[in-house]
Amino acid sequence: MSIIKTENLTHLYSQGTPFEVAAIRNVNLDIAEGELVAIIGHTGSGKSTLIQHFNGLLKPTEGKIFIDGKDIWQDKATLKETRFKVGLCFQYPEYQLFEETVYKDIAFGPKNMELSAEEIDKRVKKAAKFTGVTEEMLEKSPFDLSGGEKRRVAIAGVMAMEPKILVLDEPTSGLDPMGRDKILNLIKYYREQTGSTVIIVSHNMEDVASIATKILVMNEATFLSYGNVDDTYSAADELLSVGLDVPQMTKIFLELKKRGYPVRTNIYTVEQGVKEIQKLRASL
Amino acid sequence: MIRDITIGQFFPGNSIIHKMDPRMKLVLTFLYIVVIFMCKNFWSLGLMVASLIITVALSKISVKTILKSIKPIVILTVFTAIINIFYVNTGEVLVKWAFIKITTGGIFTAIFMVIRIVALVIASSLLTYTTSPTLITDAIERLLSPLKFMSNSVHTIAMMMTIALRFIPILIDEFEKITNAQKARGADLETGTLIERAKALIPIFIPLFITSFRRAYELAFAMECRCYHGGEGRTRMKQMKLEIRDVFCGLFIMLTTVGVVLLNINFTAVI
Amino acid sequence: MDTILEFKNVSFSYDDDGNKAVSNLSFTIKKGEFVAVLGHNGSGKSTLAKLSNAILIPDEGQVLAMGIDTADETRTLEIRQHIGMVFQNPDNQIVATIVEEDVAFGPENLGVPPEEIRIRVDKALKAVGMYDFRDHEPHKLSGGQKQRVAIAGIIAMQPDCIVLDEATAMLDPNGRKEVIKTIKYLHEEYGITVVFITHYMDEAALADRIIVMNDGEILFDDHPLEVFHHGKELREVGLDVPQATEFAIALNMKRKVLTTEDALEGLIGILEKGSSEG
Repeated sequence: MSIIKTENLTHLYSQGTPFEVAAIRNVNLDIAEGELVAIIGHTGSGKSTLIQHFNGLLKPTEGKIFIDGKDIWQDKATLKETRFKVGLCFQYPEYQLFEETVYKDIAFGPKNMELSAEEIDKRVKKAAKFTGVTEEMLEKSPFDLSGGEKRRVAIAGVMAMEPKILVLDEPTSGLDPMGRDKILNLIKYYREQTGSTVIIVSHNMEDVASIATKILVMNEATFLSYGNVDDTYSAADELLSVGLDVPQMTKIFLELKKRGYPVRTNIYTVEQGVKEIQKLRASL
Repeated sequence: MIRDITIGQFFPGNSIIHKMDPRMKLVLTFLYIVVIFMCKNFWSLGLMVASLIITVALSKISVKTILKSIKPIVILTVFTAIINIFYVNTGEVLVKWAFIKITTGGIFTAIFMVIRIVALVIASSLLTYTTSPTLITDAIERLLSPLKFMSNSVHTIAMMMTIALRFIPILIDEFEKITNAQKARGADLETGTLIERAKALIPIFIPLFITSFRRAYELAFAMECRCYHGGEGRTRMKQMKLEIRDVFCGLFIMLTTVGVVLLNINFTAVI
Repeated sequence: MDTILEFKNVSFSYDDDGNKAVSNLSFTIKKGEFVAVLGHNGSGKSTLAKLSNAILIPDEGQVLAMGIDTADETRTLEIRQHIGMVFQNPDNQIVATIVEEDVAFGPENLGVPPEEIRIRVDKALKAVGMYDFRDHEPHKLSGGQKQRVAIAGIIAMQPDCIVLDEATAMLDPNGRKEVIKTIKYLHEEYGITVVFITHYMDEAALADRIIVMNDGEILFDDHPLEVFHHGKELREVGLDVPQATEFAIALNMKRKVLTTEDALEGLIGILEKGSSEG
C-alpha cells in the first residue's frame, strides 16, 4: 500500500514575481509503506522542499499530496493529524533543543500531542533506547552533551512522537565517520523494530546506499529516478552526468566496463567488487 | 514577509550618487529631511520633489526598486491621509454628512502630507540603497570623530552596528528554521490566548539565543585571528575624500533650500 | 625561514580536572608543506589548530610559530598575520556586509595603507575566484562561496601558512570541491603552507602528509599511502579508509592505492597478467 503519494506536485517560490522559481515541478511519487527511502540530490535540487510537503509545512502551489490515502489539505483536522503522522527532523536538529533536561526535550512532541503522562513517559524511554540515550543523560541539560549526543537526542524527540513516517533531512551532516555510522545504524534499527516508513535526505550516496531499500534521485526540481539500490547504481553514468557523486567502487567498475571488461556496474561496496573481480578472473 | 522590506538594503552600482562621499550623503540626506519639513506650499514641495527625482535618476536605481521602498509604509500613509481629510476643515466644504465634513483644505493637506512622507522615505532609502552599511557606519564614526574624548567608544559602536547589520538576515533565517522545526514537533503557534502564544515562543527563542551566543563567540575568535584589536592603528580600504561632485551635490541641495525659502515667502501656505 | 610551525612536547587542557585535550604533542611543519590533520570529533585536532596561532597557549611545552613563541603576548598580532585561520561555519567569520569590505578587514586591522589594501583585496578575491562577487552581500552566497571569501580574507593578510579548521564540514559536496580546489591552487601557485584539519578521508588523501590524532596524541604521521594502509587501526579510532585503498588491499595488490585511477591501473595489471603483480 502506498503511504506517500503525490500527484503533479509543484511548488513555486516568489510566485507571480520576476524571481519565480520552481523548487519542485510535477512530481508524481508513490512510496510504499515500510520502505527506507534515500532521497539524493545536490543543493537546490528540490529535496528539502519536497519533504516539507510531506507534513504540510509547505502548501503545494499545484497538485496534491496524499499521506496514508488522505489528501492532507482537504481540511484542517487532516492537516493537524498529518503533522503527527509524519515526523520531520531537520538538518542540524540539535539547534532546536531548548528544555532544561534531555527528558523534557524529548517529551516536547508527545506533550503537544496531548498524550497521557504515562504514555509520554513510555514513549520518551522508548525513543531514548532507540537512540542510545542513557538514563543518566536523560536528567542532564541538553546543552552539556557532545555534538553527536545532542543530534541523537533531537532525533529521539521526533521518534517519541511515533510517526508512521519518519523523515530526516541530512541526519549525518557535520559528523565524523563514527558519529555518522552510529546515526545510520540507529535509523536502520528503528525501522526494523517499528516497521515505520523512513525517508532520509542526503547528498552522500555512499552513506545511504548501505541502509536504503529505495533511492529517489532528485535533479532540477523533479525526480530523475526512483527504484531499488541496484537499479539506481546500474544507471551510475546518469548520476555522474547530473553532477552527483557515486562511490569509488562504482567509478572503478564503470571504467572497467568502458574498457571492455564484462562486469556489472551496480557495484558499491568493496565486498561486491572483490566478488565481481573473482568471477571475472575465473572467466578469463 | 520580513524579506520584502528593502529599507537598509544596498544595491551596488557605479553612479555619481554611489561614488559620493558617504559623509556628504549622510549630511545632505539629513538636511533634505529637515528642509522637506520647512515646505509650506505646493511650490516649495514641488521643488523638493523635483530635486529628489533628479537625484534618483542620477543614482540609476530602478523606479521599481524605489517604489518597493514605499510598500511597507502604505498603511501609514493612507492613515495619515484619512486623518487629515477628516480633521482639517479649512477652505470650501465639498461633502457634509452627519458629523463628517470634507473640505478642499483637508484634501490639499492630505495630499501634501502624503507627498512629504513618500519623499522622506525615498530620500532615506536612497541613502541606504547607494551606500553599503559598513560605509554608513564608517561615515557616522568619522563625522563624530571630532569628539576625540569618546572616539574609542564611537569606533566600538560603529563596529557593533556593522556586525548587527551583517547578522540580521542570518538571524531571520535561523528564526524561520527553528520555527519550522518546532512546528514539526507539534508546537502550536497560531491558536490560544495571548499568554499561551507568548509561552509558545519559548521553544523558538531559547534555541535562537543559544545559537546567537555561539555565533558571537565564534565571530570573536575569527576577528581575533584576523588581528582585530580595536580601532587603534586601523586603516580603511575605502577612503573618504570630498571631491568636486560632493561640492556640486552640496551646492545643489543648498540652492534647493534657498528656493524652498523663497517659494515659502512668495506663495500662500497650504499648511 | 624553513620551519613554519614547531610543537615541542605540547600539552593543553580546557579544565582543571586534568583531562588533556592534547598531550605531549611534538611535530614540525615546514614551509610549503600540505599537511592534513585527521581525527574524529574530540580527538584534539581543533585544539591543535587553536594552539598554532596563539588563540590557546600551551599549559606545558612550547609552540613556535615562525620561530616566535606563542606565549609571547607582545607578538600575538605578528603570529596571527603569518598563520591565518579559517573556521568551520562560514557565516560566523564574515564581519562586513559586502564581500570586498570583509576581505579588507584583516589588512585594515594591520594598518596597511589604503591603496595597498585595495590591491591586496582584488588579488585575494581573484585568487579564490570570487572577484566577480566583490560587491555582493555575503548572506546571499552559497556555503562554498562564503568559505572562499573567508579564505580571501586570510590571504589578504599575506600569511605564510593557512590553517583550515574543518572548513569543509558544513558544506555540500560541491562546496567542498570548491574549497579544496581553491586551497590546492593557493598551495601550488603561491606556495602557501596548508594545515588542513578534517575528518573526511578523501580530503586528507590530497595532502602530502597526514597527521592522525587520537585522544590528544599523534597516532600516525606519514604519507597518505602509508597511513591508509593501517586500515584496521584507523577504523578502531573511528575513521575510515578510501574504498579504493580497501579494495586494493582486499585484492592483495602490491601497489599502493589512494584514488580510483590508482586502483584501476592496478586492477588492469592484475587482469592482463593474470597475476597479482599489479
